Amino acid sequence: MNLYLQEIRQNLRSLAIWSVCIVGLFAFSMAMFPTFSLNPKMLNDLMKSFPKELLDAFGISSADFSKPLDYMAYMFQYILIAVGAQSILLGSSIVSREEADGTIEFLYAKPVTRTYIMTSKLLAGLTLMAMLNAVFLGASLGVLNIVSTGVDTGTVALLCLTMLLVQLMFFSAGLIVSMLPRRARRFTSVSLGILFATYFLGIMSSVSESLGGLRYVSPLKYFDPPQVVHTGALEPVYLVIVAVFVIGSVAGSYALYRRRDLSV
Amino acid sequence: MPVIETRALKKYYGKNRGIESVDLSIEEGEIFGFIGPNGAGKSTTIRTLLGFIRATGGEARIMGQPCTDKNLSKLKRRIGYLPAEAGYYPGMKVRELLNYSAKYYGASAKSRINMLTQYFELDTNRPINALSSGNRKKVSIVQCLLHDPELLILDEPTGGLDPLMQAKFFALLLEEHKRGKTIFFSSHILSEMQKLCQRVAIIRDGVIISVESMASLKDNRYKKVRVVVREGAAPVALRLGGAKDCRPEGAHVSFLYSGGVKELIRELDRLDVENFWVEEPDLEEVFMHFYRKEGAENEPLPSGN
Repeated sequence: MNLYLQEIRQNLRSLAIWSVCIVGLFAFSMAMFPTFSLNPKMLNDLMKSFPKELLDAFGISSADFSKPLDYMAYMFQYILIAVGAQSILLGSSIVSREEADGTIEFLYAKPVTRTYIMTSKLLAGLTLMAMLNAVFLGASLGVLNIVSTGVDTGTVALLCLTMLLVQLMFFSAGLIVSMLPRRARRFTSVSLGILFATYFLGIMSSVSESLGGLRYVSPLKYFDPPQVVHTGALEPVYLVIVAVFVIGSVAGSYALYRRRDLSV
Repeated sequence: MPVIETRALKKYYGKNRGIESVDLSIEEGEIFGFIGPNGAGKSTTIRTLLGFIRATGGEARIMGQPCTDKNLSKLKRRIGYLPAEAGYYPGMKVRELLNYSAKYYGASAKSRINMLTQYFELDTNRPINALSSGNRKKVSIVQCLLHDPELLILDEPTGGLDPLMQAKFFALLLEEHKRGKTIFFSSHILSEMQKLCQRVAIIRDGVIISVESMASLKDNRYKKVRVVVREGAAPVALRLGGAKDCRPEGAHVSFLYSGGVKELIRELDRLDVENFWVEEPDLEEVFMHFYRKEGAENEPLPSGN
């Protein structure tokens, strides 16, 4: 329990800042919604004047921005990038930071196993991500109720579920990257690199039919928000991919951490 | 049963030698020193013992049990480790860290923490990262002692401490020794070794080259001799068996001598010296003899004739 609580305490401030920024970003973008809902025809005519590929790239092609959830789904794609960044950075630092900061000599001198360290930190990471998610869920419902009426809570909750899956995916990716033998300082850039690479691959997959396969390597597109809002469902194949990747990365991280030479 | 035992312990970082083959046997209740030049393998040995790194070969045991992750997690309840340089969590105050540390050992060590922090005059309300390096060292010392461990493993323990605190720390270590605790002490500072240790292992190039008892080392095997020859005399060629580490500096020559006194006097007479001094050597000079590579021992003096 000690390490779990300590880890949460240490990350709380950072999490609070991320939460405020993400909720703020969301609130700010939703604040523009009333303008769109009042002039739907003008907006839709404007959209039709853009080439289809461009609309596909931004995920707007089938959107009707006069509906609150459609609009939110569009904005949600960008929220997902921010949340993905927070998750991958958290995953890549939560274990490796002890070595980078030099606190590992303090920690590993305690009567604990490496497995205990890993488990405590993973549970702390999970808790932190769930907290961010819950804050966003509450805040988004609040914002939606301000800018529109008759909010479909179920769909919003579904979107937040997809957010959780994206968080888990990127957290695990960050975690396994940090288990590779290299200097901790590079993890941040590698992690963010992975995030943005997958984002761009995702865009390419929606633009072109032939590149559709790229969707498999872009977690941000697994549960495409506009699609989720329309269909109200998540595609099972991607749920499987997430499960397999998360379980595999976590198991791999345990194994690697147990064998690792802790650098002091 | 030895408290710490290693046999042919080996650690290579890829192709780089950490330790080649380390054999140690430390008995319960000893104060055992560990000394060697930079890169000899002192820290590698300690880190392998405590499970920070995995041995490439050989074996290590603490209190009879092999040093696996699982065993160590139980053994560490009874071990206090003082790292050479410890990092601490940002924003934590001294008291918070010590209480956090104590939680890992189950018992609330409040009274012991208070006793130790008062003893070392450590202000527990300050954030650790605002402390001077000496005070941070005190934090490390307190956190390694607060759970009353049976075995202390200290890596360069006095770095940063002022002389008064050093003396207090040593007094405390001697107290622990009297209570039957075992202390394993790695250091560069020979005077500390001299004050505390009963036995000393000397490590060089990843191998233990000698384990000596402090008594036998202090046992004046060598005398330090310094000699001044007359101004203008030809450079000195010392012909004396049992002399080593000869160091000429113009008219002065100094060397370590382990032979008979009569031979020394005869040679001094032959050299027609103006003045000479005979002293007990520093422990440092004795150790330097061990540090130096084989073959450099009986270097002949550069002679002018």
